[in-house]
Amino acid sequence: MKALFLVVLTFLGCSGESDRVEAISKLRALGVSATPSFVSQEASPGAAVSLEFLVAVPKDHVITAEEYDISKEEPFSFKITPDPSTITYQDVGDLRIAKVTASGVLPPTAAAIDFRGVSSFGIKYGLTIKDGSESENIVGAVLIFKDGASPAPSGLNVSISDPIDFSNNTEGNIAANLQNPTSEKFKVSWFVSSGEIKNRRALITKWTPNRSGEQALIVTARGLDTGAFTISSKTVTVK
Amino acid sequence: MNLIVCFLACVVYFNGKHVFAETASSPEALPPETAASEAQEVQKTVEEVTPLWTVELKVLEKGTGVAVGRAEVAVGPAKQYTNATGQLALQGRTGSFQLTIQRNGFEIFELEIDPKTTKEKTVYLMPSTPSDNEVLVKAQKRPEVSKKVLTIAEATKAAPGGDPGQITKVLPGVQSKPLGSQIAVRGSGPEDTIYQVDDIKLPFLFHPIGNISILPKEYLSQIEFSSGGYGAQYGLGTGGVVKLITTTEAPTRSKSSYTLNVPFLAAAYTDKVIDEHRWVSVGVRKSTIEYLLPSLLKKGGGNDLTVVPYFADVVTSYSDVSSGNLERFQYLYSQDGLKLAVPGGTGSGEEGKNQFRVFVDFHALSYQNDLTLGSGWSLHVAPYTTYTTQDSNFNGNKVKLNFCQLFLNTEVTKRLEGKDKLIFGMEPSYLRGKVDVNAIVFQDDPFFDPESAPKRAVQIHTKFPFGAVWTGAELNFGDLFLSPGLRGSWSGQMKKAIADPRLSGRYKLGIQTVKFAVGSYSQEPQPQALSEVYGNPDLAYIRSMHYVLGWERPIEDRWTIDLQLFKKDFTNIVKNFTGEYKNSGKRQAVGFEAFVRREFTGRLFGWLAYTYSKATDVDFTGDKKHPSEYDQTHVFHLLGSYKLSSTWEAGGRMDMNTGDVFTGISDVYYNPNTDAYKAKASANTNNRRLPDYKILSVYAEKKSFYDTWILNWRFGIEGIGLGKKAINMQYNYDYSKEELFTALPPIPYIEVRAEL
Repeated sequence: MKALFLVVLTFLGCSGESDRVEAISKLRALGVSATPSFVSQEASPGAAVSLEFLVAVPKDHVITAEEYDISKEEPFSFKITPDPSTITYQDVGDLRIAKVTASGVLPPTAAAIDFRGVSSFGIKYGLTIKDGSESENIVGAVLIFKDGASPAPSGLNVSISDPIDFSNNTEGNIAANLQNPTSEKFKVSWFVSSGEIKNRRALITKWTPNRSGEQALIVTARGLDTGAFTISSKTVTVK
Repeated sequence: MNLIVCFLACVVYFNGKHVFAETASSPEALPPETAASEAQEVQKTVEEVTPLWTVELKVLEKGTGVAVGRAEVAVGPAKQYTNATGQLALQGRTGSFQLTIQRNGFEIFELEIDPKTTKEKTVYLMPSTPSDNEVLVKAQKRPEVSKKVLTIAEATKAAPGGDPGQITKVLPGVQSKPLGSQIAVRGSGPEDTIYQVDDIKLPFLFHPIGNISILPKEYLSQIEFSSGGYGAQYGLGTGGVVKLITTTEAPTRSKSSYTLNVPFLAAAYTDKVIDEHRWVSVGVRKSTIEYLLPSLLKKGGGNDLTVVPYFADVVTSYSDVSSGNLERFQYLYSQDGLKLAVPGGTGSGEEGKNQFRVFVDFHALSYQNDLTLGSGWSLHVAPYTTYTTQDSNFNGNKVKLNFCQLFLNTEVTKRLEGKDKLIFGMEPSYLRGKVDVNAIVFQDDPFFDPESAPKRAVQIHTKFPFGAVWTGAELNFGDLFLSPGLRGSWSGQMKKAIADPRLSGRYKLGIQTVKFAVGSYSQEPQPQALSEVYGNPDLAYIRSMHYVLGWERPIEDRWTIDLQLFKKDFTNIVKNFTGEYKNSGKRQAVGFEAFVRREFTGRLFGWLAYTYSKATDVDFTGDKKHPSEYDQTHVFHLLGSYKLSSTWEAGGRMDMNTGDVFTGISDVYYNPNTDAYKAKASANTNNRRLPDYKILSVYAEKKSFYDTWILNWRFGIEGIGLGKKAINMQYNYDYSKEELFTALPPIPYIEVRAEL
């Protein structure tokens, strides 16, 4: 009960735009798109993996990427090397989405994984992305499935629905369409330049910006069975 | 006779009759036989003129209406006394007269009575300001080295919020958290301490909301608290013992009280006397905060936040002391609940709130009786049964527990020569329980996503017997008192037995006493750790060795000082680092306590309690020592109360303690598979400390006396912070910012209680 009271008071104590998960004002990781996002155990040793890291930064900022060694803490991991020449930027509202690609090879030890009754196991990778003095350590996992237990390839695809018009309103509904042909379990995440999102995990929810002007609206969806990742973004002009 | 004649002559004079005066002023002396005859004639005349009146006087205590016997009633120099029922028949032949009534403990009362118009008069004496001369002596059954005994009157003055059950928080050897109702004692966790009401072990003694104990103070007579080194009668605990002692003396009259404590609760209590040996007690309390909090939150802008905490408790008993010992049937009930809905949640709906609901209650039905068997043998029986429910739901994760346990506690005492005693006890019990779980199974994996993890449905039925036997002795060898004891326990769940030998002693050196205790204490791991589904059924008992050395002495007749050194060694502490429960932990707690107490006299009361301690843990073999989560180096309490008059009292309390430890963060990373940030704890466990905690609490109490009832007003403010009142560290979503999580602002309260 004491812990519950602390939970209550923690939520009561929360305040400020800078503390809201969905509001981006500095370097912020959005997700990783892995190709492939899962591999069967049989095919895993030596399988090449390409990982596209997506982050959001304020407009005109630039990023760098470097290896993040997790091998000491994570016995089942593989090293990835970022390629700075693959860094690209897409301006969205007052932010920009930056992408960088890193690649690696799954270790031979993947063939010896003891699944212990579960059907999949994550082999981990790490990368650090920097924007000036800000940095994000990103540690994700490529899924290795027991032979014969691999799911169907995910066709997950998210897009922000139209219309998103805040030219006459200071708050309004936002919605995303999600194509999910394999009915995979998924998780949605909304990101914005400012304000509050009522439920950042819902496909349809409400956004209350707290400043006017051009702003970014970003939604991501990740498949919880396959590790798939999809993203959609839009520039919204708030009155 | 001459006095009567003179008196009557004065009366005649003042009534304009000068017969006696004229007779008395006669210049010639009369012969004796003539004077006596004439005096008788005067008296007869006076009696014919001024008839004898009677005024029935009744003297009662203001506020209760209880008769005041042996009250001195003075009419001029003449004094008489009321009888046991407070009554006195005044007779005379005068007109109006001045009356003075006084009795020790009451203010002097003066009045004028005209017997022509007043035949009966009831007078209510106001209690006077108590003196500082009488010290309340407390009897201590089975004196122990580290035991503190407080009356409810003392505990009510000193305890946080005036709730006597919370008094343990301000005694030496105790670490407490501002939001916690349970206590850590000499390095032991809150779950290690035994909480009892008389002989009944209860799942909890305090309502988490408001930190109020589950029994009304009117039902209690004493609080006993042992911080360690206690006897063999207590088992399955390695911390301390908190015992609420209920009243055992028959009330002299029926009485009731009605209380409103804003913002927390409303209560009613009554003792109904059947005859001089038997009475019935009933008490009901209900929280009121759930009706006030929603509107307060709305005013604070928290429209999306729903918080509904609530609690209630009931006590009822039938007591009979006609045999010279207490026989009692008793029923206790307590419930606590919390409904919480917080925005920013993970539900699939647009509202997206985290929903939490928890409900906990228990029933306890008990019987107790003491029988004198002859030849120095006596028997104490205290069977009881408890039924506990815990029902929680967090975003669809449900856990429901129901437990029913029956205890057949029995104790036999044999009085030996002098004050020596032998005691044998048995505590067989039987537990039946059911656990229904439909919830995610937490894993120690950074990629574990509680938002999307599958739920697992499990239903577990349990039934286990438990048992304990114990023996103890109280042996006097001149100035040396020894109390050896041995306790054996057996757990049907663990299928293991354990033996705990203990020894304590006291040696009087004049007015000083040197005392010591050494003993072994064992405790079962928590039920979830022993579960065959979630835990490890092969776990062993958690063990603790207590060592205590102390010295105490009175200073004059109003002060006592008690100094103690203590050491506790824990082994087999249950730890879970890799998803598996193991008895891998060890702890050592050492410390020093000072307790300087001003005994309760009805006027002034207070104490100073200081504890210095160091508690260190080793979590598994090969791990390095680190501060225990219960390490609070310095704990200091200074409190007191003073009765300013018969109607006003004021008091206060200063609490200071070293901040709690916590483990800092060494690194943070973002997990793209779960879209969450994960912090890596520092390899140095509990390597940081919160700021020291200092608070001040004050109260004032006013009694308004009416003829047959009293209205009590208590005003107070709890927790005025002298600096930051940090109780935890909190982080933002990516751990880039940390902020002290401070305790609630000072809570003013007002309690109004009518006593009839």
